[in-house]
Order: sequence, then structure tokens, then C-alpha cells
Amino acid sequence: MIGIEAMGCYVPHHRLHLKELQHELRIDNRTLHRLLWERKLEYIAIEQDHTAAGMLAKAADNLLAGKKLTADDVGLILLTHTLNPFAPYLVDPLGKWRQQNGFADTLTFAAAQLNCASIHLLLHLADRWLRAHSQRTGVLLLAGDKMFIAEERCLDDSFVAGDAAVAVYLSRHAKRNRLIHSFIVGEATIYDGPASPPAAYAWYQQSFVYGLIKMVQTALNECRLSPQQIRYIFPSNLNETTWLRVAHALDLPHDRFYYPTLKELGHCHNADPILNLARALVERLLQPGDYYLTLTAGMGGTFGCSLFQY
Amino acid sequence: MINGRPLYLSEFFVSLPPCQPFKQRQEKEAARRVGSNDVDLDTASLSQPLFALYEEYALPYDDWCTRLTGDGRYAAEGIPTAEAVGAADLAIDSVQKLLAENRLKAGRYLIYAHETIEASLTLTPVLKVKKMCALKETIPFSVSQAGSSSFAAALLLLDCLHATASDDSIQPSLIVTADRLSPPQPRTFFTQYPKGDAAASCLVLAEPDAWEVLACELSTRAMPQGDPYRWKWADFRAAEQAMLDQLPSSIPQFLLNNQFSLADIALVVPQQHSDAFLAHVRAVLKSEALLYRRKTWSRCNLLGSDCLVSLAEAVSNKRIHRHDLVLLIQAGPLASLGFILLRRVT
Repeated sequence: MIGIEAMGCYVPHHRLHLKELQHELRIDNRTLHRLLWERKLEYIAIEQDHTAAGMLAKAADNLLAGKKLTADDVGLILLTHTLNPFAPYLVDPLGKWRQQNGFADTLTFAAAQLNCASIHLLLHLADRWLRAHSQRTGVLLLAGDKMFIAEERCLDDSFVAGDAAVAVYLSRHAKRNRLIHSFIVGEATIYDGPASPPAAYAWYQQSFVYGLIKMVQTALNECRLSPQQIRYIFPSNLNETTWLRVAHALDLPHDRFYYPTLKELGHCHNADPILNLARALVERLLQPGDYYLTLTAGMGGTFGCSLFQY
Repeated sequence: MINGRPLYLSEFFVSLPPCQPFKQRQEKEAARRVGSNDVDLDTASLSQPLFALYEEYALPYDDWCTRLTGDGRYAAEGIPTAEAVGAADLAIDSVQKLLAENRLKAGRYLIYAHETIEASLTLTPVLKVKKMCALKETIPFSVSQAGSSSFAAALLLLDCLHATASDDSIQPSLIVTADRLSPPQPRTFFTQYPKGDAAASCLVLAEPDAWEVLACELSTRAMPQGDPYRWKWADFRAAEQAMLDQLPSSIPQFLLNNQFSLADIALVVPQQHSDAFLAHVRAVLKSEALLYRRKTWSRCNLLGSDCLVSLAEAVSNKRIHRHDLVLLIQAGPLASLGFILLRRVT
């Protein structure tokens, strides 16, 4: 069965409390209060040593430390990121890592621009790629971002970006974490983030929660499951307000949404759902047979959702 | 293609900004750079994200035009350069022409294939193309980090999506290639042709159209030479030679894998990459297949759109006839190689 066979996470050790970041983020006391007490953000992971490309390599190293993979096991390496300025032109972000780990000839490229829903784009493409290439064993997925312009970490009073990277090995022979289906949507409500026209941006901010609700409902309907059959939802670390609203709309208890890393790291773009899933696996929260979802929303009305069975 | 399921492409629609002599363009960008260096990158704003990115990767950008421009041999070459618009705007122009010509209002997927980066932290180019072209039900995403072979990467993905789709998903998809070299992304690199800005788009369909895709292959080999911005001539020559050395075996092998030989190919359309690259392709072809050299901007590399612009020109010049086999060779800028074998249907 196609599913997640191994994961590797890289989170920088350096964390700063939002109060320590207030000046750098140029946020007033009211915004700080809201981020802390309504959005439930607290500490932000900040990478000091590595570039975003280096962080991807670290996540991949951590995956290989737990699961040895050779070029025969990996037919394709797909990477993604939210920030479009990710690696400079001509720089191969994984070149050195591929050289060092026996993947120099492995087909590698990036698929992105669903913003923070791009991890589900990778799952969608990798799943379809494995279905189309029956002789291939697995796909290595890498996602990560580093906010290299410090004062841009904060988006209004909505979220604060942290730095992290994850690696996922999607295998045809997975023993746990069967991937049942991945769904992606890119509405393009806006295309220029906070630089969009104010009215359009305000409309996007008000409406994206409905897109998330619709995404979950679509996924469950197509897989013929009810919300109550889902043991956990591992979402992006957007903020608590968003997930309270989505849980309420789906008539689910809020504790079905599991995102312990929100308080510890901030919103680490596409890494969030995998970081939260990895924590749940460490804490043995899933039982065999449990269904779970990963769920993301990105700037501009992009949404992603994958249904798994443990 | 996969499992023998056919894949077709429409005609290509290109968008090219006005042409300028390369030297003139270079001087303008250098002047802009002098201004940019006055900006304190510790407080880099949303308008300077590419400079901040180069700073983050500790890359040289202050003297790129002397470090990476080779010996100035292309100073008089004309190259299309976008002044006031970004790559996404070129893509929109190209896709709007494509949609108008094909009377199409939606597609299953829209793939934005690129290798350069827009100078914005907030812009999502593929969402802009989708929005401005009113492609409401389309799933947009981008493909990159495949060098100038991003079209081949997009085609391989669409082949998978097409081969594993349910019946309701066989509606056309779109690929648009788009690049613009905003500073500090270098337009030149050692002896390679200077790079120009361009976009090209086509539909990818299950029903017969202008081109049948017979095969597509992509190689994205990691180079041992490390960071290209710190290369010396020896590093460049070694990396270039490694790429060139693949051609004598990989071109015939690609054709053989698909039950063809060079003698079957009516026209080979290579990337306008460099004199060395074109000479090596010509040597591989010998007299068995014709090489098409673009008439306009023949010593300018249009990156992911390059072969597609050449192909559109060859069609326009009636160099291709019904049932002809055409081999596109996308290459570079450093190590990637993409082969696309097409048969002219119309």
C-alpha cells in the first residue's frame, strides 16, 4: 500500500518568545496580546545557521538516520516551499546532499506555489506518480522554509512564521500510515498576499475558513467517511482561532485538531502538519485502523487535505 | 507515454518582450544595482527580497556583471528583456492568447514552469495567471528546480496525472513556461549565451491536436562542483564538459528506448545554450538529422521557453510537415537535460 514509511524533521534549537520578538516584528501591544492569548502562539523557531536548502538537507539526514534508503528506493525527489524566493537562481538546493547520499542521479525537482498547502501538492503528485510507475518503490518529499527577512515573520495579527523542514518517504510498501487520498484546491482569491488590494485581502481573510471547511467536507464525502470517524486532524499551525471555527463548523470536538507545535515553533509553513503528525506518533496517539487527516491552507485560497489510515 | 495512453499538445503561444542589445541592458541593470547597494539589507524590504535571498545564501551579487559575464563576446546580441513586467505577466499574455485561440475557459491543471524567481516575497505567479486568465476550476501549481527543462518536468507530471485520472479528469491542462531575470539573477554565465525573458504556453490534451507527445525524459543530475557563483573557469569547464559528455550516448539512447533512431527525426530543436552545446549536438547528429537554429535571437537563451519559441518559429517558417518527428533538447543552464519527442499531427 502507498503510505508514509518514514519521516524526518528538522527544527532549529533557537526559539524566541513573541515578547522578545515584538520589536523586530514591529507589532504593537494589542497585536501581541491577540497573538498570545487568542491565536495561542508563544515561541517561534528561528534558524540561525542554515539556509532553507540546508534545513531541507538536515530533515533528509534525520529521515535517513531512521530509515536507510538507497537510490533504488527513491525514484523521485520532490521538494516544496512557501516562499517563492527559496534558493537563488543557479543554486541547486539539494545538490550537495544528493552527491553525499547517493542520489546524484535521482530525478529531482520542485513543485510549489500552492503556498502553505504545497505539502499536499507533493503528496498528491507522489501518490499519482507511484500509481503510474508500478516498478518504482518510493518518492522522497521535502518541505521547508526559512523566513530570511526577519520583520516579515508576522502576518497582521494572524500568525507568526517559524523555520522548520520535514522529509517524508512515501513508499509503495508502507506498513503504516496508508495514504487514501490527497485533495488540493487553488482558488486564487488573491495572488499577491498582503500586497493585494485591501478589499480583496480583507475578503480573503474573512472567507478562507470556509474554504477549509469545504475542503474537509469534500475529502470526507469523497471517501465516504463522517467527521466523527476521523480520530485526529493534524493541521497547519495557523492559529487557534481558525481551528476552533473549523471544528465548530464540522461539529467536531476541538481536541480532534492536534497541533502542539503551534505554541512551540510558530507557523512553519508546509512543515506544520508533518511536525504535528510526527509528535502524535511519538506520543502513540494513533491506534491501528484510525483514520486521520492532514489539513493545510495557504495564502490566496489554496487548500490541501490528505486522508490516511494508521 | 505511460501505458501507451496518448498525450497531445496544442500549438505554442509565445510572449516576448522588446529586444535590447545585451550590453545596453547590462549597463542598466548594473546601474540599478549600484542604487540597490545603498539599501541596508538588514532591513531589506518587500521590494528587495532577491537581494536579501542572495545575502542569506552569502552569494556575491555586487560585482556579478564582471564576475560572471565571460569575455563580453555577446555584448552586441539582442535579447528580449522585460522592463516593467514580471515573468507572471509574460505568462498571462501567453496564456490569454492560447485560451483565445482555443476558445477555452477552463483546464484541469495549470502548471507554471520556471527557473528564475520573481522579485517579490508576496506574489504567487501561478495564482496570478489563474486569476487574470479566469481559469476558475483549474488546479494551479508550479514546477521548478529542473533548470531549463521545467517544461519536460511539467509534461512528465501531467502524463502521470493523465494516466491515473478518472474519466472526468481528461479535460485539457495548460503548461506555461515563464522566466524573467530580475537582478541580481545573472543574465550571463561564462561562455553561455546571454539569457532573455520569455513565456510560452500550450494545452496538454487527451484528444489529437497539433503535436503528439511520443516520449519525454528528464535528467537532473547533481553536480559535484558546488556553488556556481564561486566557480572558477576550471569548475565551469568541468561542469560543462560533464553535461556535454552525456549527449553522444543519451540522445541516441533516448530515441532507441522509444524505438526510433536519429534517421527518423526530421528536425532537432536544441536549447540555444552556448556555442559548445550546439556544436556537440551537431556532432551527435552528424548528417542523420537536421538541427534547427532559431533565426531570431539565435545567440540568446530563453531558458524554459527557449525550445518552445524555436519550435513555434519553425512551424511558422513551414519547416515542419505533417507526420514529421521533432526532438526538443532542453538543456542547462548547468546540468539538466530534457528530451521531448513530438510528432506533427496537423
